[in-house]
Parts: sequence; structure tokens; C-alpha cells
Amino acid sequence: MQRSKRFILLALAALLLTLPLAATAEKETDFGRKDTVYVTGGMWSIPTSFNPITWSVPAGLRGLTYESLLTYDALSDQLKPWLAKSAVWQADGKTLRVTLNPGTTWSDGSPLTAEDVAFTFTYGAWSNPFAGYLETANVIDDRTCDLVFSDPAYHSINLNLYIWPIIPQKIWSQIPAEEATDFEPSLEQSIGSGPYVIEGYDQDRVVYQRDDDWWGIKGLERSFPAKRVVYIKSMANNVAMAMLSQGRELDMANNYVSGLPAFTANNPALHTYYKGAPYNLPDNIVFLMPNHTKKPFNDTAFRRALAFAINTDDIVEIAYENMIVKPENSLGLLPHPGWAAYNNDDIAKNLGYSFNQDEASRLLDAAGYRDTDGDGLREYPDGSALSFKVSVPYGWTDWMDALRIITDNFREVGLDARPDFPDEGRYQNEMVKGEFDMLLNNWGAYRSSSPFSLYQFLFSTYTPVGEDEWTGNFGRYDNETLRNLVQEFNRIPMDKTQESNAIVRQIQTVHMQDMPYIPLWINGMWFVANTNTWTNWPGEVGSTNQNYPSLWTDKLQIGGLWMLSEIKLK
Amino acid sequence: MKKYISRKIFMYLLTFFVAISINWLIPRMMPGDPILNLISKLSRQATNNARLYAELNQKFGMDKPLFSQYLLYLKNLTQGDLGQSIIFYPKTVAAIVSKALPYSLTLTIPAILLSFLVGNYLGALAARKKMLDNTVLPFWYVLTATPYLWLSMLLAWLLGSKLNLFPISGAYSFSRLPSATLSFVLDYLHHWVLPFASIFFVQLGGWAIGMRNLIIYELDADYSKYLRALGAPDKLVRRYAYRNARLPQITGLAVQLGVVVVGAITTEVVFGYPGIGLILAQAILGQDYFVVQGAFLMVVLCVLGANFFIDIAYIFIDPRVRHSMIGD
Amino acid sequence: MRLKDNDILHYALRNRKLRIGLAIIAFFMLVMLAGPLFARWEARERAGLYPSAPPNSTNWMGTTKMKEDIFSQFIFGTQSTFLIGFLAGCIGTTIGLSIGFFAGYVGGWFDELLMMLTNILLVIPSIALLIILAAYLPYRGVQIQSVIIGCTAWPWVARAVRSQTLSLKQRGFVSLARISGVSPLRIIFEDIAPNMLSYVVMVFILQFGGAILYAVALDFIGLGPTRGISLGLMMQEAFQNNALQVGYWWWFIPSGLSITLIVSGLFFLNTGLDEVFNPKLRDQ
Repeated sequence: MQRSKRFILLALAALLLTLPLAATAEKETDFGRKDTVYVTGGMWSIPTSFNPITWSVPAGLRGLTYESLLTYDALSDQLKPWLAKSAVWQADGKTLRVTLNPGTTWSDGSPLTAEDVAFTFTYGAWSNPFAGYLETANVIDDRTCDLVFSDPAYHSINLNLYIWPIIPQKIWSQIPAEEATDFEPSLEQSIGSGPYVIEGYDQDRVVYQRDDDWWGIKGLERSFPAKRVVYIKSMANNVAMAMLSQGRELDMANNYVSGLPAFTANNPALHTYYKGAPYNLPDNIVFLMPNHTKKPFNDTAFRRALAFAINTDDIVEIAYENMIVKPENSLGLLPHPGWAAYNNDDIAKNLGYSFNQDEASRLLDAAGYRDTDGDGLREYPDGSALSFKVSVPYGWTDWMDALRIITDNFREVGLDARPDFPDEGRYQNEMVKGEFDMLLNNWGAYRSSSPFSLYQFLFSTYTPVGEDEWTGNFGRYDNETLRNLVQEFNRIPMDKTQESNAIVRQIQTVHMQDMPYIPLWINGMWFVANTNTWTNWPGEVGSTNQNYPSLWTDKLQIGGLWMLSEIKLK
Repeated sequence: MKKYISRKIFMYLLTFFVAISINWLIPRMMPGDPILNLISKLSRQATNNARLYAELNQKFGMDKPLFSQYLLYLKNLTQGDLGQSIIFYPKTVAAIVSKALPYSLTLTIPAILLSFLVGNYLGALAARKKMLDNTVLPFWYVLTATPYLWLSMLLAWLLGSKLNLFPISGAYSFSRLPSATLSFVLDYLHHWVLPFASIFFVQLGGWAIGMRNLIIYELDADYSKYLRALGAPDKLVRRYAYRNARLPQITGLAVQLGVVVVGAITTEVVFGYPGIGLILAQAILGQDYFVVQGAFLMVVLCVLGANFFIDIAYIFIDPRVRHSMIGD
Repeated sequence: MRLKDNDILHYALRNRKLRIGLAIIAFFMLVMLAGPLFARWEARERAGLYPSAPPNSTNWMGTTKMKEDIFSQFIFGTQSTFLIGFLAGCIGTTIGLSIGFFAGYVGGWFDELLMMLTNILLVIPSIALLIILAAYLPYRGVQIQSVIIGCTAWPWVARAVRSQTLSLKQRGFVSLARISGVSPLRIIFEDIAPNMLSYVVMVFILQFGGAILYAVALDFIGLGPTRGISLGLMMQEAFQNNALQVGYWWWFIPSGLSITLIVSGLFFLNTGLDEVFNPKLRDQ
């Protein structure tokens, strides 16, 4: 017995030691605190593949390691040069002339040329954003490339110019296009052009190391103060909060953290964009999506009544503890300079809605939805029982709280609405296949250079039930006029806002009158930083770092990258 | 004896076959379509998605009839091929499991074995000393009755946030990459303490209580009385009681060791410990058939293996069992 | 007989562990039964004046972030938690005992088959079963949760009982009964079962407590009831909303403390009963 005990203990000790010994590096690698910035947010899964041209990449990969042609300043609404010095539409309206900055190189030292640009946009991978409407890419010289479009969809193209990464031709030309998504580049094959290279990764982190030979130090006259950026996988709420308050291994979080207002009040080191409410910048709009193929949601009067029943102030004040802005009007637009030209307040005033349960009841009564059997709940005009559920994935706690408020509101006007919390897989399945009653979604309603992205998300497609809908019209709202208007909007050059607004006004009029999807609240760009090691984070006052504070995938290109280059050591 | 053991082996093989078949079936009975989930991760460009769907469906073999999918699964299994993950696409299941498994094993095996050893020892002690029984036992009750995660959260809050003694996230500092150095090992152990403690303490009470009760029963059994009547020293009686009381305890250990692989899911979630429990939680919610299958396969292997081992060990530990089984 | 009854009662009243256990369980019984008279709101009603308010004269145990009354949640949550423990405990104990007894007693191929069933259930994760069920049920209620827990928690009981039975079977009195030609069922119920009665009580109480703890874990990873409230859900919501970190102790403490108290009360009750019924244990 004694011997077996000793054996077990020895075995345990050996087991404990195997893991570290199996480790790869031999030398000591403890990053200096002052050399490293620790961030979290936007990385929801373990790092799977460092392939930059699939949708879900490890956060930071697009931006830190692979670069886009341009970046977009989401605070001031300006396109800024990055790999490209400029991207200008030629007089024919179909040719976009891209001119690269001087001296662009890949991390292995070889030059990044117009050939790589042409290759990226003509590479036959299905994820290529210009597939279908890019005719040719003509390399004019080492620095210049003409992208010739058969169909100049200005707004879509504009979005992708600051999102899509340029990939090295010499690596990817060896990969057949149909295998491009399966391709798992090794760390040696991960040759990007960005300011950081991947140093290592594990289940819960990716470590990016600064490339001190980055072309942009000269080419953009920009440098990054942190030698390493450690991206930490999103963690449980309590862990995030504890690590933030300690500031030892976490400098910034782009996560929704419940209880933050009460918490920051006691922690002077914690920094949010606004000092008090609403704490966060607005980032995306959450819509209530009824399924138009089902009764009673195919009834416009019913949908409009729902809109009047919802107390959006309660959502902001209770569910979100005042951490987000209240919508200015019911148009469902983001309060953001890039969209300001389209904020047609008059349409909202005349046709929109506001919280008014008497009006909701009046509309329901008028449309025949009355309580005929005296149980306190309304029935269909023909007397049959009316009940429906509204879905949000389980675990999205803030959305779940908001949804409880919404369904309570519906009950207050006599509708038998139940909150439904399926797991994420089922939620998404029902959404894509159109098998839900009502759900909440915000997939494509994010901050961008043009509200086209919003209207593309909501109104650009129509898929009958039985086929899968991917863009955003999950409720199968069938309105061809609106679809055409969205396409028309896409084909008006970015700078002709007056012309576009004429079309947007038509879209908004139909939206408000028909109310196919009901704008609910505006989610924040969750951002909280600890200022013990790094300071000068973006903020309302006293900061020279005026950049959109987000390190989510594809948001580095709209501010996060610039933010990281402008933080300072304390 | 030989006949008995070969019968056991046959039954265990049969159990194994049925269990892996059910494990194959379970994720497929889950609602929804995992390929849709994958597509939403790969691309949201509607134009390509129909084509992509067909391609991926074929790639994962989901276009085949269910039965041939099953045969394919068995065939791949014999070649040790666990398939490709859906939510961690394009990683293979083997790659994901082998990366996460060491973290779970080094956390749960020591916690379970040590709590078993210490718990049994303390339980036997408590059965002997009334004083100890009255003072420490109530404490164990409370400890065992505490929900894992509540205890984990309190530990994390008190020792992690308030007193700043232990890190509360990850298996090693975010300021490091693994290296074969002493400082890394120390750092790793430092991160290991809290999750280990939260499993160890809750388990400890259970073993101790079980052991104490069992020994008291054994001391009351006929043979103990008989031994005492014969004038055998107390110590000898107790040794026999202890040997007999070990039986049900070891049965319990076999089950616990099997669960080791799945790890303590809640503990791993609370402490962000990158083990297989964390992976499995994501895979189940993301309907990743292949990862779920792979992780459950490990459970099947471990539980059945441990149980088989215990079944055989019984023959040697308990002469009565040996007699009962082979005598029939 | 009378004398013996009095004897047991006498010892029962004198046993400190039993008294502690009874007091705790009685307290929560009172909470469950009398509580609703005092609960002025539904568990999910946004009743409070302020969100996350500390205990005050209106909301005696404070409010949650969603302005729900924690006192009401506590009352109704305790009810569901007891229901889960009791239902799941009954189901688990019954199945586990029967299978363990028969497998151990009858032996041979019958034993092998029952153990195969047990082993299969041991290796099929109940989480996966829950997800499948969740998909086909319009919602998950407390009862459904307890049935699932009960139906998946019995294997270890079966295994432990089986090995006990195997062991008992070889003891003198059983062999004696068998030699004298008594039927197997009678041997099980008249000779083996009474000898294991205290073990049965222990098993039930452990299953009761275990089910409560298991339900908490399910609530935590998002597989709890989608309707209603339980102590586990209260704990999970407090956790999700960082109650402990922010300092809303009145939200975080009651649920976890109640579960701890209930389950340890059950353990005390168990040991106390054990000592009362087993004279040998008292006099040490």
C-alpha cells in the first residue's frame, strides 16, 4: 500500500512535468510588461487557421499581419491611405486606379507590388469579394494597378477596399483556388505585410510580434509602441472584469461587461470612451425581425403596432445600464458622420414610431386583433388564439435581458409573446431557413462608410422559404421595388450623397410605412481600458488618440490599428 | 478464471461497440445543420453560399445516406481518423483534442487521485476518532455540498481578485510562450493551483464521508465482531475493515477517472482553463459532430478501460468476489 | 416493539447531527410552503423601484439588475430546486438500486447485460441528451430537467450496489438461506435488502443532493430550465452580471449559500439517521 501510494505520487509529479517539457521553445520567453499590450475581444474561438481570406480568422490577423489597401476612419468618416496611397475612380466610372505607397514589402523582405494586388482580386477563391463583377485587373507598373469592373457597385467596392487583405502571390499561387479555404498556412507561410507577425499561439491566445522592418515605418511614417500584441480569447465576464481591474495581463477589452458603470466608478484606472453614460460609442443596430411568411406578421398594421409597443428607453436603462446611446429617431440609422447625410428626420417624424402603448392598442383594435374571449390576451380577427415567440441565442445575456423587456411590453398590450432562448446553432438554423416566429439580429447593421451596408443587409435579397437566406432578409420580406432601390443606391458614386439620399429617402419611406423590420436599440462599441501601463486611449476628452477603439476582426481597419499606434507608455 | 476473464473481455468489447455507435448517433439527432453554422463562419457573401454548401456537405460526407455515414465512421475509426472539425474548421479533431487534452489531464487526474487518497485517509481516521468525526466531518459536509462553480467563483474572487495571490485565467501567463525552463514550470503551477483546488476540495469531502461510513459498517460486520471476539487487536480488525471498505470507493474512482477526459467543464469555464471541457462546451453548442464524437470516444475508452481494470482487480482485492464470480 | 420505537425516538431527538439536518431542511420547507404568502411578486416581474438595489423595506433581499425582487426569486427558486432534487433522487435511486441488486444477485449473463447497460449510460453524456430533448420540446421545465438528471445519474448507484450485493451474497446468512432453498426474490428482499437499508437511505439522500448540484451545473452552461426560476438560475444570472465583482453581494450570496445549506442539511440528516438506526454507531 505504501509503495503504491508513493508510485501514484511519483506518477502525478511526472504527469505534471510532461506538459511544460513538451513545450517547443528552449529559451526564456517572458515578455516585458512595458513591451506588451494585452487585449481581448472579438476572438471567440480557439485560433484555428491563420488563413486570412476566410470569414472567421483569429482576431487581429486582418490588420496586424495582413493589410488592406485603405483604412477607414470611422470617427471622422474618411478613407485613409494604407498599402495604397490612393484608389481613384477614372472618368469611365468603371476603372479604379490603385496606386501603392512606395516601399511596400512582405515580412520576408520581398517587395509587395501591384502584381500582388491584381492577384488578390482575381484569385478564384469563392471568398473573393469582387468575384462576379471584376472584369480584369491590369498591372500598369510596379506601383499601379487598374481594377476594371463590369458593374461598378461603388458602395460595396468601397467597403471592401478597407477590409479585404492583400495576399502574397508567391504563396497563394501554389494553392489551387478551390482549396483556398482549406489551406492552413504554417507560421513560415504566414507572410503578411503588416506591422506585426504571428509569433505563437495557444488555445486561448495569439501572440503578435512587431516587425521592426515593417515598410510603413518609412512609407506611412507610423510606428507601433508595443513590441507585442497579445490577443486573448474572450473569457468569462468575471475573469475579464478581474483582469481589467488588476491591469496586470489585460490592458483593453472590447467585450460587453455587465455591471461596468458601477465597477468603473470605484476604479479610477479604468477608462471608457465617455466618462459617464453612454460610456460607449454606437456600433451597430439590433433589429426585431418578424417572419413575413407567417401570420400575423404578414400584416403591416400588426407590425406597426408592435413597433409602438416597445419601450426602447427601458432597454437602454435597465438591460444595458445606460451603457449605450438612445436612438435619435426610429429610422434605425447609426449616429455616425458617415451616415449623417441620410438621417432624414422628417421621414421619421411623419411616418416613424415612438413608444406609445395606447397607440399600439389602438392600431391592434383597428386591425381587428381584439380580446374576444376575455382572457386578457388578444385573438386573431377570426377569434383563433394568437401567440408567438421571439428568439435570441441562449447566453447572449444582454440580448436576453432586452428581449424579456420586449416580450413584457407585448404582453402589456395584450399579445401572448414568449421569449425563446434556443442554443446558437438552432437560432441560426431557424434564421437562415426562415423557420422562426420573430428574432433579434444585427449581422449586417454595423458601422461602415455608407448606410448601403445596412440596406443591403435588410432589403437587398429575397429568398423563398425552403432555400437558405444569408444576407439578412431572414423574415422573407418580399418587396421588389425596395430591392431595386438598394441596387440603384449601390451604383451611385460615393461622393454624390444628394443623389443617393433621394433614393435612400424612398427606401426609408417604405421602411417606416411597411415596418418590415423594427429597429430596437443601438449596440455599443464595447471598450474599456486600464491605464496603469498604457495610456492615451481613445476618449472623449484629453486624448490625442482619436480613433475608433475596436480590435474586433475587420475593425482594426476602421480604427483599431491606428489606435494601437497612438497609445503611449505611462 | 480464464473463462471469466474472456467473458468480461467479450462483454466490454460489445459495450464499446454499442457505446461508440450511440455516440455517433447522438450528435446526428441534434437539431439543425452544422454545415450552415460553418458557412456563416467562412463567408457571408450570399452569392457563393449555395455552391459552398454543396461542396462542404460532400466533403464532410453528409450527402451520403445515414447508414453509409456510419460505416465510414467505423472505417475511419479503425484507422484512428477522427475526422475534421466543423466549428474549428479546418483543424482536425485529433489536432484539437491532443492540444487540449494535456491541460485537462494534468488538472483533473491529480485532483481526483489526490482527493481520493487524502479523502480515504481522512475518512478512515474520522471513523476511528470520535473527536475528529465531530469537528471535521461537518466541515466536509458543507464543502461537498458547495456547488463547484460557486466555490470556484468565490476562490477566484477572494484569492485572485482581492488578495491577488493567484492568477485566475489561462494555464500559464499571457506574457509567455511555453518553454522548457524552470520559471515557466513555476508559472504553470501557479496557474494550476486555483482550478486544482476548486476540484480537489469539493471531491475530498465526498471520498472522506464515503470512507468513514463504509468503515463504520465494516466494523459492525460479523467478521469484525468475530475477530474481536477472538481477541484480535483493534488494529488488525480495522485493517480488514479498511480493505473491505475500499471496494465501493474504488468503484467510484473508476467512474470519476472516466470523466477526467471531459474535464470539469464548469471549472474550466470559470477559470478560462484551455482544456477539453472548454472545447466540448463550444462543440456541443456549435453542433460539431466530429469534435463531440472524438471527445466522447475518449470518455468511452477511459470509462470502460477503468471499469474493466476494476472488474479484474476485484478478483484480486476481494476473495469473496473472486469466489462468487468464479464459483458459480 | 413499543420500547424499541421509543428508543429510536429517544436517540433521534438526542442526535445532534440529525437535529441540525432537520432544522436546516425544516427551515427551507418553511420557506417553500409559507414563503409564497409573503412573496409579493412573480420571480420574473420587474417589481423593484431601482435596479441592483441592496435589501430595503420594499425588496427585503434587494433587486437584480432587471429590477426583479430577489426575495420572490429565492422563494420560488427554492421550490423548484427541492422539486428537482426530490424527483431526480427518487428516479435515480429506484433505477440504480433495482439494477444493482438484481445484477449482483442473479449474476452470470444477466449481470453482464445489466452492467453493459450501466456502462453505456455512464459513457453517454447527459448534456448531449439534454440538447436533443431541448430541440424537440417547446421549452425545458424543471420537471423535464429532473427526469433527465434522474435517468442519467443512476449508473454509479447501480455499480456500487452491485458490488455490495456481491459481497453480501457471500456472507454466511445468505448462503444459509440459499442452501435451505429460499427463493432468490425472498433472499433479496428479506436478507440482502434490510442489510443494505441504511445504504439505501444514504444513496437516496446523496442522489437528492447530487441532483441539486448537477442541476446547478446544467443551469450554468446554459442547459437549465428556459422557463421559471431555480436557485441555480439565480446563481448563473448573478455570475453573468458580475454581481460578486461589482459588489452586489445580495444577488450572489443567497442562491449559492442556500444550495450549500440544503445539500449539507441533507448530508447531516443522512448521517444522523444512520446513527439512530445503527446502535453500533452511537456509542463510540
